[in-house]
Amino acid sequence: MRRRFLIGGLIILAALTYLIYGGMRQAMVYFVTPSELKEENRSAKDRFLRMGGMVVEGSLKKDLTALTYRFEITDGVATVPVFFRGVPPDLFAEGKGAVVEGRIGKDGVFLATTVMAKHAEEYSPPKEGTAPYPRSFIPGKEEKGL
Amino acid sequence: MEKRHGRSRTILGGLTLVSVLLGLYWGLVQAPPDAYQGQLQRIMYLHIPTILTAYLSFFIVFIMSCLYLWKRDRRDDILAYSAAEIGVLFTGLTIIEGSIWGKPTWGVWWTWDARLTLTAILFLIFVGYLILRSLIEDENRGAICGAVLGIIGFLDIPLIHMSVYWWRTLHQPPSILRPDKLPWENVHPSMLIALSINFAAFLLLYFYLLSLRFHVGEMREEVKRMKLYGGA
Repeated sequence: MRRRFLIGGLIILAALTYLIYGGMRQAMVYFVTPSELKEENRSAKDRFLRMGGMVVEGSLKKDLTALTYRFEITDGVATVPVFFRGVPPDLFAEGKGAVVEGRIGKDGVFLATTVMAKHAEEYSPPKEGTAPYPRSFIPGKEEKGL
Repeated sequence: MEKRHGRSRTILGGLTLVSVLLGLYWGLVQAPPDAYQGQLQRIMYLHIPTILTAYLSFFIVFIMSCLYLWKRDRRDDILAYSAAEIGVLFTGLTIIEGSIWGKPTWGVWWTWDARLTLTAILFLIFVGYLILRSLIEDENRGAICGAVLGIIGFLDIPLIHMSVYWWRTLHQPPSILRPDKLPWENVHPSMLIALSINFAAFLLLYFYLLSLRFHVGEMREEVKRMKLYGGA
């Protein structure tokens, strides 16, 4: 009796694990890459999307009176231009990882409603003589030009 | 017997208080700010110890539930129930701390990436465990149902841990619990000291709470026995 219960339980458990693992593996694509987006460009139009990659160095153009940001996101193969109006997180920067949420516009520009910054799992103090990164956290010493 | 336990618990409580204060001092004053995240990174000194303590707690639920199903010793069940309760507390705290860290760094309080979603599921499974335990009046049935749910619920933890490798997530990979890199390769030694002190403080706090909660469970059992059979 006990053994039957145990075997039954194990089968249910194995099935559950398989379902969760297999199902999530496909369903839980949290964000698409620029390459994947280019491949399925037609079907991606007018659909809510998350796209992740690196912010291309030198691509960031801020207009701080209109609060608009234009930049490009790349996965090393394809690059997608992004337009965002709002306030990005403090860690958002060129050459760093970012995930944007929004839609692809008719002109192929990604219209982001949310910009999220990824950060690494590495932590270390700032080098001698340099301030820690989000300078805006030191009152009265906000980054010049912002 | 209980008097002696009470005294060692008081000592444990004192040690906890001292180490928590030491951890706060080290995390807020001694450790340097992070090059990239500045002062915000100090949340790590709470966030990592809290979730590791929650993992440990549910691991104890897992072990004690297996033992209970095997040997049917009431004390194993009381310990499993106690650990589940404190595990829920620490998981809830982890989610709150993570949100506070996430808003200024990621830009959002919450996002449905695999790691965050699976952590929310872990929290819900064990909230469900607590509801289940309080709903079933028959003690033995409650204990058996709880043990089965506790074992299944624990299996979410390896999924949470691997989630950042298996799926694309906003959450970064682990800094500490990983086989391919040593902790000080990810976390600068000056920060690792603060993290270790806080982890030790959380472990002490955890075992202090667990022993208190286990004691409450034992007293509850005693009261029930007295009601059933009368006498002291």
